[in-house]
Amino acid sequence: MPENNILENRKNSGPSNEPEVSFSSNCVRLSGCEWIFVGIAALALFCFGPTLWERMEKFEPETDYRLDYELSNDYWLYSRCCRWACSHTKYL
Amino acid sequence: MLFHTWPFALFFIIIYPAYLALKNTRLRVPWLLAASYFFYACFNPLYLILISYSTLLDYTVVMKMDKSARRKMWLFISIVNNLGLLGFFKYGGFVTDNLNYLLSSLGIPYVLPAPGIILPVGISFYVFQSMSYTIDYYRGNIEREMSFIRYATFVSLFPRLVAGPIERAKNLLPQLHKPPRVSIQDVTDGLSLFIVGFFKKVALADYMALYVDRVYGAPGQFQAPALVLATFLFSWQIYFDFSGYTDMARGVARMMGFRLMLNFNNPYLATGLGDFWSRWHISLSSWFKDYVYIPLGGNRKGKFNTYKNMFLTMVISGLWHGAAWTFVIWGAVHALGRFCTRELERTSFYKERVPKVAKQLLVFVFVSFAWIFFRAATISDAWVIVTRIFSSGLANPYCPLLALGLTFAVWLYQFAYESKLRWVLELRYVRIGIVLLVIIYLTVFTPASEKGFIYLQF
Repeated sequence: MPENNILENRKNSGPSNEPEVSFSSNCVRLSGCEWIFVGIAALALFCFGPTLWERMEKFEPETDYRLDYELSNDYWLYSRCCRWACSHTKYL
Repeated sequence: MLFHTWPFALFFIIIYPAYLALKNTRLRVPWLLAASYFFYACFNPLYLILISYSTLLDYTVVMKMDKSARRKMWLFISIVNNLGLLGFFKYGGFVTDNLNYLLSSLGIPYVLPAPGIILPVGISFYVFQSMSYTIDYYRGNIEREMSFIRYATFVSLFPRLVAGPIERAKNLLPQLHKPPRVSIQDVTDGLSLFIVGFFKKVALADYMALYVDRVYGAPGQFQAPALVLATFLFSWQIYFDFSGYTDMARGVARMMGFRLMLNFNNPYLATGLGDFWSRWHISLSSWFKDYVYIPLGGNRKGKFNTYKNMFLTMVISGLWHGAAWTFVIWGAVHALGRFCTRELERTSFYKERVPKVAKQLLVFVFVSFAWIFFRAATISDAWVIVTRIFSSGLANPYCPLLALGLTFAVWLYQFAYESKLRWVLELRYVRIGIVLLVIIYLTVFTPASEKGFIYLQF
């Protein structure tokens, strides 16, 4: 543990040093404009993503289709199943 | 109140605008202190008595040291008091258990009552921070802090209160003296740090914990592949958990204009155990180096004494992590590993012929092996895991591939970060893309988590 490299790290820490050196150990550092872009992109994805995905992913179950037990937590599939059933059968 | 929970979000939404409004006034530090004490009281209001006592005592000790010729005596009082607090609250149960075991082995029919004390959250962190202030003052490395309120804020500053980083007075106190400049860049930097930490904790650490907890909960029921994978995954889980906490702490502090030290620097890319300890929990490693290893003599008195000092430092470091023999063994295993790799690193063959990736792999495997003792509930559990890894069958581990895939992706990212390909990661679209992926992953795949941080128990 207590060897030379610690000193090098300590040189890079603390308020008196350049923040660029000790900011983080990765490159994920966005500016204000970049955060705004991320916000807009995320909002667009959350608004339009599900609709687009629904168009891309085919869902054509058979008439007596039932959800597998393993998929009982899959509420995306459950909602699609319900909507499909409402539009195709008399009783849900 | 943990960083990744809604109560903290509410707390921060309330205190932050007021902090920004007060940051250029005399009320800034008292406000920070009030917020920090409220934050700590949310865990248990009784903890406030303890932190106030520790703060008051060290503040008074340094004041007395300033005016007295018997500085050493005051330092001694501070150290005994701090270690006494830690010993009573953290090691009371451990000592009682061991004494009872000793009494029963000697055939003495007497059982000491269990102290039944709950370990106060963060005590190991703020006691060490407070102790470093008195030692640094004694050594003449820092000026005495005149304001009690400012000193109390230094000890209790809420982003780093419960699990570090263990800041030094010379880094943090000057930041409390002058009004901070909180720029837009500070806020966005803080957000960047926070989102990475949040992802590490909620999406990675807590997800890996599902598999690790299952295997380590009943190690006798699993065979070698599951035990090996759970051990490797625990290595990453504890890294994601603790470095995630630190990232969030640094992010919150950054938004308030404070710069806390880097605590983790991609430790699993270390090429030696010395290198590993300069990348893992840096604030604690450097604390032990400055206040234990060097005062013991460091590497100044020959090879035997160097290794003895290393061994003692590592064992004490192990004991700091928890009051159990498993942590002592963990420290001792690291010390023994350090002896071997230190000698190995001096050979020209290892230095020049062994590829860097092989060295990194060797360090990772060794560190993961040592984590077995850290994670196992008891020594016998650790022994079961070690023996079963080498002697049991090869049954399907049923380890989720997603956990392995995510770990590999993070390793690849870190590997690229420390290679010549770093420029790719610095590209604007890559950075934005990663943050977008992180947000989507957190929103779509990650359930709400209120699982505590591993290091809070220390």
